[in-house]
Amino acid sequence: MAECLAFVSQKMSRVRWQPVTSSLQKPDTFVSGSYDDTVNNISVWGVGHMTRTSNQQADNYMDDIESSQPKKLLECQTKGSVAGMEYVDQKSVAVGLSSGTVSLFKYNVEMQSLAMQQMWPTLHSLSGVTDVAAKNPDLASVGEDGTINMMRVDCKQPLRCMVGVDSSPITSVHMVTSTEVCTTNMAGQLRMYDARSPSDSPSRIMISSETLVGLCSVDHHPTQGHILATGGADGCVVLFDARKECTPVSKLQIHEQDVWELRFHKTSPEHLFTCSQDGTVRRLDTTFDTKTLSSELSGTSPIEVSELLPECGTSINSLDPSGNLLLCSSDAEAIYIIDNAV
Amino acid sequence: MDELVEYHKVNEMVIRDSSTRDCNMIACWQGGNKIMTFAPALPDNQDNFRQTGPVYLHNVQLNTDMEHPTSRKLINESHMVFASLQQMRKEVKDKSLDKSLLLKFSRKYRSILHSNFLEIRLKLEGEHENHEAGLEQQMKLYSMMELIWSLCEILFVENLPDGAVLLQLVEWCKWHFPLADELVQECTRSVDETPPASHPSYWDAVYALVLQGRVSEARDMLKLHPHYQTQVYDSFSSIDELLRKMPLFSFYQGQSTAEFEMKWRHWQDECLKRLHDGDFDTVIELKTICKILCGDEEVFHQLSELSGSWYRILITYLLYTNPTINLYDLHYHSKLCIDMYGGHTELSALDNILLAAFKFDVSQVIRECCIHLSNWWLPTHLTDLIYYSELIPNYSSENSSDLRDFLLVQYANAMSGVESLWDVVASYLASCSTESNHYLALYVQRIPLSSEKKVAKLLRLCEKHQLTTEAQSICKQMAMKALTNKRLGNALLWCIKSNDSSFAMYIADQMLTEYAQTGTFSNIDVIDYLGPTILMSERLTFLGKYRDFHRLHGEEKFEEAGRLLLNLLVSRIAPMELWLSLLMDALPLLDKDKIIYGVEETSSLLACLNTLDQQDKLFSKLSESEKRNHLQRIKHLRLSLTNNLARAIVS
Repeated sequence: MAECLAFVSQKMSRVRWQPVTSSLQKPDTFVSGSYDDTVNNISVWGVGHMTRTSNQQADNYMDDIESSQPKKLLECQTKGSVAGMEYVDQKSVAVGLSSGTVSLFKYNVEMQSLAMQQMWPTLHSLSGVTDVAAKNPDLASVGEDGTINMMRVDCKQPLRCMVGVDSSPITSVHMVTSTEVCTTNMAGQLRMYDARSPSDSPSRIMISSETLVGLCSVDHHPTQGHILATGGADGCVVLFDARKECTPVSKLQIHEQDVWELRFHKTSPEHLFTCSQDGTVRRLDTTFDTKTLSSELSGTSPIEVSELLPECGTSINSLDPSGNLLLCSSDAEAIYIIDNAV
Repeated sequence: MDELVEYHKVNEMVIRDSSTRDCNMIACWQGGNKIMTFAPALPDNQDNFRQTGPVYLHNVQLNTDMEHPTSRKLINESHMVFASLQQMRKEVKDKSLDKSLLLKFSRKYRSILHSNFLEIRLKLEGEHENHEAGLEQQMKLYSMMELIWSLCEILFVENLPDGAVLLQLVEWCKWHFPLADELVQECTRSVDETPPASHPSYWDAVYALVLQGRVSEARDMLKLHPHYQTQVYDSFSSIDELLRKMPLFSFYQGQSTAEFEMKWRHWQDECLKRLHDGDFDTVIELKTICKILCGDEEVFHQLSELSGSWYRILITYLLYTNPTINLYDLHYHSKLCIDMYGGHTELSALDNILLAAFKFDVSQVIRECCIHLSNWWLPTHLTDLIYYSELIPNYSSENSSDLRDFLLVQYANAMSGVESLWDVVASYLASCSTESNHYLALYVQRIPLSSEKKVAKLLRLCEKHQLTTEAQSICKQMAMKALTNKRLGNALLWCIKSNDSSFAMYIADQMLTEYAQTGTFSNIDVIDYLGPTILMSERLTFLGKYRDFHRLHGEEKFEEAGRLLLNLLVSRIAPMELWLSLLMDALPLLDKDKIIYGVEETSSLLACLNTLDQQDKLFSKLSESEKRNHLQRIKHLRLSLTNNLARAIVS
């Protein structure tokens, strides 16, 4: 597993690969959003790829290292820390800020432009947005004030504001479909909301544990949409089946500390990547078949956990897998690009 | 190199404050290189202080070195190395790390410095206009730090035996002072127009190479001279032979110093003989070269400009007079070399640091670095590296640990102005040998709690260093913040986290008051899912059970609801203030066709009612209209309960 480490002088709370047009194409551009800095910004980076042919000599090694280091192509300041970031389509990114604003940024590397295209200001009070979710053209944002907002690209006003629907701070949000949204909160609940229903109350509330351990992140299986994976503040990955009861299908202790982000691989969904406050990045390999996961009868565990990044000393805040490459950002103001992650 | 001193000049800044009538400003330190200044209210003629117009507070930050992106790279990268060094020390508890390991760490630090230097140089070369302020100064600073660090590494960390030291120092010279290479390049660059030998810098290049001890390269340069081509034995071949035969100490091949010394003396004698024989009288430049080889002081004086500084000439001098010199004797010859460059008075800050290093005066090196370098990076990391190592003679451990702690705190303080580096600061403070927890506790209290995620990370830090009081305090602060924002559910969660049952009771009371006023629970979703933590406080348990009652009532499970309600009253878990509402809640149950409360139960309810009636204290607190209401309700309740009792007895 090859690893590239670049120090970027800012802590990045989110990093996302630009969506590739075909699965054979290697991702070469990503965006990052910084947080906790005096001046925060979002940046677009380009990554060269080592195209080593059999004739290349060792003295090209330095060039190889150079080219695999990400280079900052574009940068734009934001008013507040970036808390959530998702690609809406190929070139536009929805960003949620700690000032409570959700903005849509559009960029074009050839034209050297990165600018804000649309903005929904002051959607959230208190510490602002904690996460955004996007499924073109719909957007959802959540905040510590327990509010969920649903917006659409090119619509000035938000479509739906569910103010204070959650008494505890909402930590992450994910759009399962254009109308179904699931959120996690600090009380350890995974909630499903239906945007079409007139009432603001959740359609389901699923509890991850009896002991009120918060949940930090959520993602859904790309092909089996009812399977939801959540990351907990105690390092557990909790799997739920949205069709069944409100208790988890399976609870696995993957990390020692908060699982800040977990993501299924889009094209190989038997891989689930997790990153944590304890500084490691791990990968779960399993078929995610609810029957085998929930049955306690089988002696051998159907899940394999492999470590992609050993303890690096500081928290890993965000990750994004695409193709063979895994992108991570850590609190040491560094970005890792791990090759052969799958 | 006077930039070091200039860099540390006192800075001046003009603050434009429209409210100041006279030149009057008060300032105070804010911590982390920040100063807060403002114009104070001035007394008028009658000595009354009156403020005219708005007051402006100015937040001034000095020395924003640490905010520069390259500095942050340096900080983070070196922090990783620092942390792994501390980790290794913890594992090797007998407190002395292997020299080769220390050397590895030292090289890691050096490579970080070098890569940062290259990056800045690249930036400067790239954009011709629009430079960030101070990039050039940064570059100079980095090259200086690298120079000092590499010298310290050779002298303090590597600690090589006689003879090998000089070899390393020659390498050091070659690496850091590329003058010779530049001259060679100049000569050979335009080969077509001017042959190298006719280039004005040709001989300078050769001298520079010889001064740096690079004899084979010097020979190559000489071969380019047209006169060299002649086969006749003459000055050129002679000098070539001498250069070729110069013995170089092959430490790593196991040669002994005595053997080398003998060989070298032999060789130098041959050089002297040829010089005196007049072999080089025809070509004056070759004579100069031979004089260098013989270690002639005068010629070093002559070439001092080419050498550039006293430490380079020192190394050259030692190379050609005493190549097997001892590590600790290096500085004895420094006076001679310094005098070549104007004596001690002309020494710059950098020169002083290097001189102290040659003298093996580690504390002096550190002291000078602290005074003259603009940031604490170098002294901190250098002290930390050689701390605990018994490489330095006469370096007592108590002094060194105090010094190390002091430097760590200064470095951490300099970084604390950048909010993003809070965990790096905490890590450095935590590695102080004494009082680390004290510093850490003080620092943690000052980190702003800007979001829940940050607080989660902060609590992990407290957990790691066992700062339980601070962790509790943070939880309480968050709970209070949530309370102020009327987020009772969130406040409750924080209470539970800090295990604060009295605060939980307070919040439960707030929720019940809210219910009493509005008739609904606002934070039901938290209460319903509290699980076993609901037992933390009695009031909370009551709240949970009360909520259960409402739920059961809603689901029309009246019997269960009734039993629960009775339980709440009889077990005295309910606060007295709410008894009336609880009893009122019982009213609809009494009206049902089916008898929910039997004889015993109804009697208990009546007893409760009587107890309530006798509560004068509570009653007296109510206003007139409320008192009337209260009495009315009690009457109504008594009537319903008696009716129920009658029904119960009959059936």
